Amino acid sequence: MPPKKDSQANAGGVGSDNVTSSGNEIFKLLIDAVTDYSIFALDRTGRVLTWNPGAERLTGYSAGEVMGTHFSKFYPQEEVDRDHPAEELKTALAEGRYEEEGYRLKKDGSTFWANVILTPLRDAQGRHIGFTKITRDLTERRNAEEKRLAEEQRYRILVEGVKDYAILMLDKGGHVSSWNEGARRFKGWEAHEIIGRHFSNFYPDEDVRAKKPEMELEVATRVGQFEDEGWRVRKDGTRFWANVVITAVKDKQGRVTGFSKVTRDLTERKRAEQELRAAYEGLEVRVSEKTRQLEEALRARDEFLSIASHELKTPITGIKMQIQMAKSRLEKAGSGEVDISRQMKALTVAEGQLNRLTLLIENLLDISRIQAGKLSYNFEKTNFSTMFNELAEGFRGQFIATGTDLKSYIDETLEGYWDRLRLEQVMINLISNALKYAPGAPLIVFAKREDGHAYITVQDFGPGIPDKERGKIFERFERLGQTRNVGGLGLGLYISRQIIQAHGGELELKAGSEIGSTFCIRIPLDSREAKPLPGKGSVI
Amino acid sequence: MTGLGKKTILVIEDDETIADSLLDFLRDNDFEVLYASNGADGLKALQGGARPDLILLDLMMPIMDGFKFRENQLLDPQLRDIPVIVMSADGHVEEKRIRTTAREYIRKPFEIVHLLTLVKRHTAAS
Repeated sequence: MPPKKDSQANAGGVGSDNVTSSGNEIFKLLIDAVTDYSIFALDRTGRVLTWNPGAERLTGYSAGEVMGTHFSKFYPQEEVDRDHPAEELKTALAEGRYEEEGYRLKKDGSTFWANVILTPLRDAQGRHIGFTKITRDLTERRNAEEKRLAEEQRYRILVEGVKDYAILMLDKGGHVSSWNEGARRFKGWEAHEIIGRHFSNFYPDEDVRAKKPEMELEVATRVGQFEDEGWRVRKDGTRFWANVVITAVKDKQGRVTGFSKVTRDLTERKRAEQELRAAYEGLEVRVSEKTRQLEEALRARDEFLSIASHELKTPITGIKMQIQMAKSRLEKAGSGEVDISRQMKALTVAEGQLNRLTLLIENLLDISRIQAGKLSYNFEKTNFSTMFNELAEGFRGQFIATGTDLKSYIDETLEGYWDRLRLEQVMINLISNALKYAPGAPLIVFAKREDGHAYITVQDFGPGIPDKERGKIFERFERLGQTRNVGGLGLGLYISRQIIQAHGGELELKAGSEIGSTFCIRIPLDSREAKPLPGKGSVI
Repeated sequence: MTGLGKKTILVIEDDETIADSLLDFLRDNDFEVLYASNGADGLKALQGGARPDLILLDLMMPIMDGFKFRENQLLDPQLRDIPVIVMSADGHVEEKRIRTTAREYIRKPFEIVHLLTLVKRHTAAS
């Protein structure tokens, strides 16, 4: 450096020395008064030039102990080993300032957490003459910070690990800022896919259009919390039923800084509820259906009792009248002559009515046995032709009386294992019906063997059965058109079908007959192994 | 009304046995009898000019039942005053008499003496 410049500086320095030394004095006093900060100067190599009470208090060294020693004595060994103190000086010199936080050593060997600021010190000419070092003990702050971080960490681990709740944070605008395992499981997004995106991604379109997410934040902001149950959407678009609680997070000034959102998947509960409700509704339907069936059964029973009573009383009325009239005539005749023919007629009429009554009662008993499943069958080898000819003989009088022309086409070799009396009952019923509904018309009975079955038809040429009645004629108490012109309880076809079904066969009304009615029977040749269809009867 | 001062009874009954018995019984007791096997035939007879003193009317009949017959009878001023006794085998005959506004009812099976009493009472009044 040029000497002139030096002398000038010295001269100037001398001229202002008094002022400077009094300023230095004040400054020294100021430094010495600071006890919370260690403030000292180093020379260019890092040796301690000054020491203040704050430094003594912080490190435990007195000025005499440290003056002239290298400042690396305040550093833990590993810092010294990696030449960190020298690095600090280098950086401070290059950049004009160096600041760090780190552990420093006290005289007693203990460490403290320090904030350190190193600044290069230059003279009036700008020459580097050393450094100032200001050190602050941050141990307490550091401890508090560490404690807080540890707590936060524990809390974060806790929250992140929760699987049954989606717990996440939203920023003020509703953007996701944290994500836990439960959220990943319920909603299907990985943290990196969803963080930063708006939480309206979790809502169904209709809710988004209705601005429900915004409304929820608004409520949470205003009243502190918002709770809701509703449908939410997963990443894959499927929905789940959620319980959602959104809580506003506020700073010390009470300003909302974000929201916490806790979501629980209640889909299972919702499904259980829905299943329960569906089961309950199903039960109600079944109960009302059963009730309806019972009411129907009761109605049918009442109607049956009414019809049965009417039908039973009709022949009784005839019998009673004939007997009373005969008695009355006998009384009038006294010991005189009695009109034998009239008395005979009365007895004949009464006898006919008694037969009618007996048949009715037989039918009622059959029904009762069918209902109780107690109609028993005795399957034995039966020749159909022989059986039919015998019963046709019994009808001969009625055929003649009504002018009915019976034509039978029967395979004489047709035989099988059947209940002869029950099968006879069916044939009698079908022929009686033909005589009732189609008196005076031809009656054709046809029977043959076909595919291991007997195939029998009874065809009349009466008025036929209207289509709308066809399905009903085999039900109990059904008579064509609900008319009373034909006696009987309307049980004949019902009983007949039950008998044929018990033989493993079927009795049907042939469809599409334009003239009259044709009933078809198809029964296996051996009914002993028959598995009858269960009777579809309800209680009478 | 026919000659000889005999009263005429129209029997409308579908059961042949009962009808035959009734006709026999009424004839035996000096009544003239007319017979129809259902409401429609009975109405036809009346519309054809028959004027019985009393009608014995069954209720359950094919083609036209007793209720329908009664409705038609009441519609015709010429016929509506002919007294009617309804007969039924079912348990609610009185109810049915009221429904048909018939003069009298009798429940089947009946005592012929009771029937005769009723028939005489209602023919005497006419």
